Amino acid sequence: MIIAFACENCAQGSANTAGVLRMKYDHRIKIVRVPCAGRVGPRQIIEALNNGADSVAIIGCCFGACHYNDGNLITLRRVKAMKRMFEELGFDPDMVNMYTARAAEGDTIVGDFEDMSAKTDAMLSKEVSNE
Amino acid sequence: MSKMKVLVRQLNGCNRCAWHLLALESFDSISLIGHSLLGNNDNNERVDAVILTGFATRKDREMLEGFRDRADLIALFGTCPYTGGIFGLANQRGASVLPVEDLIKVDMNIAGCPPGVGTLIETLTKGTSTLMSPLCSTCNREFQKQYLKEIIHTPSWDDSTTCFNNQGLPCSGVVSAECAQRCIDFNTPCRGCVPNVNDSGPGALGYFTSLAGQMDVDTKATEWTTDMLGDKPDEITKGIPDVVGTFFRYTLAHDFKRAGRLPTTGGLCSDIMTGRLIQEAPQIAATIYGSRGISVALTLIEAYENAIGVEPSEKTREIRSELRKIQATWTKLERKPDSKRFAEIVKALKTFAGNEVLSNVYFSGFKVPLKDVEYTFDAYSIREIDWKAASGYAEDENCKVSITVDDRGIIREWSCELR
Repeated sequence: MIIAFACENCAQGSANTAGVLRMKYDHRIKIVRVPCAGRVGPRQIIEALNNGADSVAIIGCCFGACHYNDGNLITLRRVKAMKRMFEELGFDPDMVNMYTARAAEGDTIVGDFEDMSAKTDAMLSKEVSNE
Repeated sequence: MSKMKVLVRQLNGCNRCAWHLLALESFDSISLIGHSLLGNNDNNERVDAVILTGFATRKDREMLEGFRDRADLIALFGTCPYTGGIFGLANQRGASVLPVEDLIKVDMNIAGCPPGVGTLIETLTKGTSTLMSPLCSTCNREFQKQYLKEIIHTPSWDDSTTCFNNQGLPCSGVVSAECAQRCIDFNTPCRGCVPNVNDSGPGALGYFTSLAGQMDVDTKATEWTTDMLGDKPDEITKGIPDVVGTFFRYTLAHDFKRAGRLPTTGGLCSDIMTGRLIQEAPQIAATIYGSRGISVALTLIEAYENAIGVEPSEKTREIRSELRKIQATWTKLERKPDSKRFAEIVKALKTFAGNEVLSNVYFSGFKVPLKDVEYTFDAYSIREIDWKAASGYAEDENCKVSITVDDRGIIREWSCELR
């Protein structure tokens, strides 16, 4: 399962647009609606992983377009530090990723979704070959 | 009033908390049925309270369930049984350190590394865990609401008024409660041995990286015309080379439930020491090596000083030799543990090292002036240190330490042979 925290402005808007256009995405992705990407931090990411998620992604507004000024930029730093943390624990840093989307263009979030499922597949197949 | 029958059991890890609990003998309201350090005189009778110290593993399940059945109350003393403690860092390399609460139901906990026995007595009398005040509310340093300009690994030694987090040095005081050791009084940032919130590690990491919200971070453009977070090293990854050891030092086993996949180095303590920042290493060594911690921390300091060519002053050497005398007394005491003599050791440690985890002891000198020492501070204060990649070796009567540090300040190889 992939947990995608989608901000309710650009990311959720983009997902709605993609839905109207009947675009498809990986069924393993579960969207969690959040007020802003800045609402998501290490607590939420670790809780998702502790409860069985394979990977976590956060989707916010484009840089400079955050509806709360700089929430997406703050979360960028948090996610970068978390990638480093997973590396230190011997996991793939792709266990957590951060993307952006544009509300008017459904294919931006679908591109994000495709990238996160490709990265998760690569991560899981590496784990299988290691075992 | 009848006396409370109490059994003290040390599980795994260092035995410092068990040493503190020797003092229970002298309380009128308590009758000590058994204590791990005083030999096993426990005849499986029913007791009012079992006090556990040290971290648990899956192997301890049966024993712990036995304690649960025969005791009215299970109390955890120290951070290790509560969250896995500092030994939880070994989970990074596949160990299975667990908080006791993951195995049995627990009635109360007294966190701290080590905590005060007074707090335990107060909690036992009251019947519930006491709510501690947040560490930040007791700290004299001032916090200004502003983003960080840089991330540093040692505080500015002559600044005792600016919040560590403002200086760019991660401090977990925001998620921690007041404790018995008070590292912050010795120019040492808090690493959260008394968690004040349920998930203190992620909380502290989120807090600090939010403060770093304007530092350079790598981003890249995607093929589908948006931007995303990049993978290249940037100021964040360079600034925090040891995320786990900095923010999850006492809570990894509690906060992150998957066993780490790095290969083990062959020993519990070396698994913990490898991967840590050299700047933080003396306090970690003093903590995990328990009753030999003083010796290991000093030898580690000397090994790195030898490697980078730093000469400590004569007065620094003199104070260190006082600390080694304290270690010798403690080692002798191991044969016949005694609470009164241990209290003297703790008092002497506070005089020469600040607190029990040697927060004041550092490379090249001491961080803050010592009380009851007649020399001027200049004679034993920290000198300019050039942190660089190096390998060093040192030994004393208790241990042999060899250490390899890489250019980012991370300990790559660690071996400590105790005699």
